Amino acid sequence: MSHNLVQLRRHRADFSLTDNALSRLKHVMHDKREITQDDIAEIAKATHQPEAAVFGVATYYGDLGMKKRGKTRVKVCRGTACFATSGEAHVTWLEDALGVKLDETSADGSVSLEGVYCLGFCNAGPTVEVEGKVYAGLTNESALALAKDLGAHVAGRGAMRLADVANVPVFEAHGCPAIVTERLALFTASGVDATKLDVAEKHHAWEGFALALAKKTPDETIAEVERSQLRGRGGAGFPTATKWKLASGFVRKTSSAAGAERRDAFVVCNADEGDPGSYIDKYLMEKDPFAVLEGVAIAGYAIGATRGFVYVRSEYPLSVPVLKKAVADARKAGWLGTNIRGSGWSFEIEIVEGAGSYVCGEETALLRSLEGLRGMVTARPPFPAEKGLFERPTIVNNVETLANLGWIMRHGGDAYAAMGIGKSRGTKAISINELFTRPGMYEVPFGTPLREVLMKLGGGMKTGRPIKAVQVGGPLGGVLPDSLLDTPIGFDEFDAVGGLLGHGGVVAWDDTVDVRDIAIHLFEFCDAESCGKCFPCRIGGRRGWELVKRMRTSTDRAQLDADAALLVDLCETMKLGSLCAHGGAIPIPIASLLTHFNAEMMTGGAQ
Amino acid sequence: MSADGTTTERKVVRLQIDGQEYVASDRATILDVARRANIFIPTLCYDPKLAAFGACRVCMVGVKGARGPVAACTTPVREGMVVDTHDPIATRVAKGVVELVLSDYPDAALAREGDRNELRDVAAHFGLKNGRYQGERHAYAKDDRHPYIKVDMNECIVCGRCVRACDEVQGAFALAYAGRGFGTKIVAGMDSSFADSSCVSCGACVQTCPTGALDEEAFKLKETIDKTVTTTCAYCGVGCSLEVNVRGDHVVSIDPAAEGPSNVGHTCVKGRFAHQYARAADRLTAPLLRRTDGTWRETSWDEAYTFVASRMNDIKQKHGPDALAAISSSRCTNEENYLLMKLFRTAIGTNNIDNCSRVCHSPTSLGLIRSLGESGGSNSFADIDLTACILLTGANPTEGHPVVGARMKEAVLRGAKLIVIDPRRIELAQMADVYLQLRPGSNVAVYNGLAHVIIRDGLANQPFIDARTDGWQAYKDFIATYDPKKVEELSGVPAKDLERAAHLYAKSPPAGIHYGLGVTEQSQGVSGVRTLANLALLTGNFGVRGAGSNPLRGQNNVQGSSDVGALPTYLTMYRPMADDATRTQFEKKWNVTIKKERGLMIPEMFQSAIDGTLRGMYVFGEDIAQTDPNVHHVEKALRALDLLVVHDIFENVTAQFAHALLPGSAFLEKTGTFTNAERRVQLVNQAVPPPGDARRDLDILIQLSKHLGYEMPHKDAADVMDEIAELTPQMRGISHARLGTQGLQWPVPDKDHPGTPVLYEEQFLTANGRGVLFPVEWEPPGESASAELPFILITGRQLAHYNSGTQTRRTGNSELQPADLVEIHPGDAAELGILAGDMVEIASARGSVQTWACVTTRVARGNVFLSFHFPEVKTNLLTSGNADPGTKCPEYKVTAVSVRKVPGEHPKAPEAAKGFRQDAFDGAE
Repeated sequence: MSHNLVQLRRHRADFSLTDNALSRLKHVMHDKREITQDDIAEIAKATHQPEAAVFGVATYYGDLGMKKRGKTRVKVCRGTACFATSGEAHVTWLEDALGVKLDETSADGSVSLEGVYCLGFCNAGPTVEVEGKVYAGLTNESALALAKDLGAHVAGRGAMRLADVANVPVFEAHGCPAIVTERLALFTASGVDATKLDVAEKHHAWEGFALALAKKTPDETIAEVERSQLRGRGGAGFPTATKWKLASGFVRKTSSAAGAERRDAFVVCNADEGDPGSYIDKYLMEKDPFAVLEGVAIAGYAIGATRGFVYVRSEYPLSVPVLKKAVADARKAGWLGTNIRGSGWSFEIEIVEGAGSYVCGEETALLRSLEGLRGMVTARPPFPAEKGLFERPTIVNNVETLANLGWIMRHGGDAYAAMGIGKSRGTKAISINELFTRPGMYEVPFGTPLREVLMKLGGGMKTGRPIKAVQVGGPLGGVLPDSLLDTPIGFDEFDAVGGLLGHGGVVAWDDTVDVRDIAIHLFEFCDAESCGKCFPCRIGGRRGWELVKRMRTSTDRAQLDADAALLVDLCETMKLGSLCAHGGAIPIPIASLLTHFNAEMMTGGAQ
Repeated sequence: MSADGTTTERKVVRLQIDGQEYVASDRATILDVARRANIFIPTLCYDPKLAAFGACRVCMVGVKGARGPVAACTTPVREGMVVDTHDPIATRVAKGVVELVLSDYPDAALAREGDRNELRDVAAHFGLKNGRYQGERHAYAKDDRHPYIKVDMNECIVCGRCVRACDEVQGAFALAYAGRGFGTKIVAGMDSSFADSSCVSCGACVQTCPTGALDEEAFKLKETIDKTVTTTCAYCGVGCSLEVNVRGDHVVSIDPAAEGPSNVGHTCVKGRFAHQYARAADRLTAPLLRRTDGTWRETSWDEAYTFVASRMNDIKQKHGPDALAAISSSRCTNEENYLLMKLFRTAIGTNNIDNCSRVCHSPTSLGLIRSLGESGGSNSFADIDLTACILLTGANPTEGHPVVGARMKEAVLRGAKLIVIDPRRIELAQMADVYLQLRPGSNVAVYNGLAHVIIRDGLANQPFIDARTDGWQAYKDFIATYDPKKVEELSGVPAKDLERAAHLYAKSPPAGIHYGLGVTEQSQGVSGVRTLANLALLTGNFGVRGAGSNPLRGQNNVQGSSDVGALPTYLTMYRPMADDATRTQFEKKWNVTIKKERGLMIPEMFQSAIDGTLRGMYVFGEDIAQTDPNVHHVEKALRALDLLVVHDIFENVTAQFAHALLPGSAFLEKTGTFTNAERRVQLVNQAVPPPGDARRDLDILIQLSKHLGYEMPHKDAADVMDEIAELTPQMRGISHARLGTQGLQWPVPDKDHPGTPVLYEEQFLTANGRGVLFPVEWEPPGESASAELPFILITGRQLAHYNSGTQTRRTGNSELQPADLVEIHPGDAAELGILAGDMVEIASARGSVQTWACVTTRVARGNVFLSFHFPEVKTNLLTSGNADPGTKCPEYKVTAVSVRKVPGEHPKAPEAAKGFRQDAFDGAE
């Protein structure tokens, strides 16, 4: 994907993100269950995009492709948490029950089975999605029941249960004051429905935004965030205020330049929470949508943006309608729109759904996807703050980051910064997987030892067996042994032990797991989701997968040693050579497996 | 400031690379600086012509204080940076990446010798033969359906250079990334053949491919070529600088010269690939004389010269020198054109010498001289990169001048505004900010309308008008009547669109006008040129980069053939015959008397032949029986002649009427200069000898002159240029020795002058130094639609072909674009019961032709379009004798015709490659 293809898209952009090649391809796939060359030719013409480029989009996203899909699309979660729960047995159950292999469509075209990386029900897996409905707690019996139901095309009966996020327990206290009680725990624990605007407003929704708008200049708003020492919760931990200041500068420069026609600047809420094992953003969007939208509005006001977008991954079909309704309600109430609350500042938010690509969580890939193009990574600089969406100044912030802003505005940055450890201030939401006694999402102040969350809050493994391995921070995070579980939760603290706090998703295994399967699972994921641009990731992902599979079965000791050495070299090549964190961080869990579980990694196949 | 409004302040920073200090702009990358300093950093996905991409990760270097190695190609330099290109970790990472690449690359391809292969070189740099990785390799089918581009994706390393070259150099967007993960691959179109994609075969992808996945067959011989000769392309007026790779006496392949001033490392399907015609089996390789039975017989040069000279002398003695005339060629060099005109003005003693620019750009010469002072485009092609607004009218550069078309596309993608004024919805119209689809023949009305709006809405540049133009008051009063409503009636252009275009043009300085034959080949050709110049005068768009009014010359040397005086009205550089001082200067040098009265223009030659006053013609490098209008009339004229000499490389259509046929040379076989549309005189260097007994054209003319009794002193082309320079003030500083690889843009008044990229910086070159605002009424074209002839025919060019097709039809380009199809609007087609591919007849008052229908919204209702590249479709049987009154330039662009479906069985239309289909850029909105 070239620089000029982006220019071409920009040249023809009316900045509508709801009608572009990607959205049209999605519609075609939804309506017809396949995309033909004629469809591509037609879409290319209608959107003024080259046929080749539209073909490139069609073959990039997991939801699309040139394969015919079934009338009923069954999407089975292959994320790490579901993998931890069943070891992928649930995929086999579905294959057998439905009579179709993974990534295939039944001969009569009635049903197809597709794998997706994480549906965000890591607390209740294994999970499967059928045409927008999600079923959790899959068993072999319920897979059969589902298949039976699909025969009559009735979803949601039998032994299955429709997943309900109310099942996600949220930890209430832990000495962390305000935020937890105000934002999260109260709504679920006390049955408050914060998706209703009047209810949410009673619990302070939009207050922080109103305060900023009335009492603070945009620069003062940025200064408040700077005082909070808020860092990006998407995983990279970049200081939020620094990003904003940069963008704000470019907004000023480009809109005051003589002859400037375009004064647009954008806030993009990154709701492409792709890390298998985390469902924090999903929870916030579906249970507390106004906290997210308020954050987008505060960010928009601070940098002088004209529009905001929330890019939601398509694996979260329940999130989009909640957000859309919230936007409509907020607009009706005057929190969005023209001349908001008489401030003279106008701002709109639009909800855009992705199409199945992990790498779209990386900000430059996300922006390309918003533009309707392939979600491929672009080398930085220029950073989106300078040239982002449609080459205009853009900030991309994670959902959880933004959801903190209302509180920070209401209570002040200092109050927020008072919590935490080292350079990680405030709180962090941590989600833990189904194997725990009390799986769910917990918000804790930075500095809380991980073990405390897992054992005290999560209640340890359901099976009562000891925790053997814990992967924190998604598929790119380190796999830690029990000995490192006392590490305090914090960006730098995790880095120091060869881990990665990332977005805060936690998947733990008890002592029945073979860690080599974890390695195979992770490399398969890496290969499947690589955007294909940089060489180390595109080729290395596949070679790594092949290597760890061979090591699993190899009976030749010399070969095993050579492969292990090659794996170490591959990890270095990918870690230091890759263009983005997808290829660049997969070596973290692999290296940690080789470090902490070396003997097991080197077991080899049965003699 | 860039077009998108962002400021681009640059700071100078100091950095260290490998212990050495360097100074660079902070916009530069580490790789930029390293390359400038000749420090080697291996790369695979990098091409200096393309935006940095950062995909291959082979250019890793160490930077002091950084968390790890960085990619040199995408990392900007900053103050105090310390770079180590030998950093052991960076080197290990790069080597590791190459090892990965080799694990999916065929061993045989790596071992192959004689092939250009950057991967092989990089692997060797790291001492890698293959790698330790074993695993799945891709197995793709080869694609060899394209006549030039051979595809073997098994050798593809997915560096994306081809995709980016296609998008960023050519703007064709025919290639893309598809799939993801290990399955990521490069596809043409929808993963089909190159021939089924929107590929326009410019070859930029082949040129940049680092591995041999995309290849010309010939490239495999690259390292065994004997020499590379830099020369100038002989297709179209862009004047691409080419590097011709030669082995023995054969051209192996042609690359665009990276430093070529007008093409900057790019060229098109014609320039790069379409050169095999020079070795076509039917090349003329010996002089031919007509037997009494009408057949040809081969003869010696001596006999041929003697025959031609004696027959010419006979006519001269019996009927006087003015009974002879010559048509010179805009395809030939300046030196050849000069010598032919010298021959006719000396050895014969007539001013009956004209060149084919008569039928294309003669209105440009006259119009620009009258309004501005010089017969040449005011600005340079490089200005397209700098302009804020392009006003394109009567030209289809993506087909006619592909390298300029591509450059315009890139300019628009960069953010430049684009206004297209053309009756046909050409490819660039689809990228335009405003597109005015005017009725054929209404140019002057529309240009006047634009001027009206500019003045009415206070957008005129009054200081410029006051300081540098004449005629303002009268012009202002005149233009008041051209209100948009009236113009809408005259042209069909909606008043609102006209206003938008006028505002965009006037408010986006610098704005450059680019026009072509759609402006000049009209009964109001000169008026069209001058009313366009008015727009630039009104807005002060002269004398600065990115502005001006610039003709896109049709043939390679339209500019030069006229510059050097192959015209009946002028001596070199448009000095009139009547000017005593000029004439005297030439008479002295040539030692002859030159007639004061002008000679015959081409259309007058035909009429005189029919009338019996013209008895002999010498036609050099032109196929007038195919390309001139009203072919029946031309044929009649040729039949009436006592002597017709055709000097060409093929037995063309005109040769059917000839008595003698002299085999000349293709551009690859001779030395001289061409002058492109930006007034740049560039060297043509001989790469191979002419085939058989064919001769270099200059030698033929010198010998013929000698046989006619006038001995010329010239020994080679450089020598001829020296004489031109001596006799021509604007070219005085030009010599072959000075031209080098960059050429010189005239005026070049002395040997130290660097040439003139932009005309009129200080003043115009009219007598009083002021530009002339020229009021002229629109007049209806010579023909208009009627009940019997309800359609207007427009003629023009196709991408793969050039002019009469004599050259391009003898190459693989004929596979890409095998026929002329008539374009007709779907609405009209439906009314006439015509389906795409049906055989239709197009008839004018003069004749009719048949060809297949291409149903497309590219033409408006009531219009049809035909090109004229194939003798099977004699388009110019249809065109009329109407012409611009001042220049006799024919009205090719407006012919009233009828269209009907031809019933019965017909062969199917041969299929063009997708990117060359006439409906490839169907304008449907």
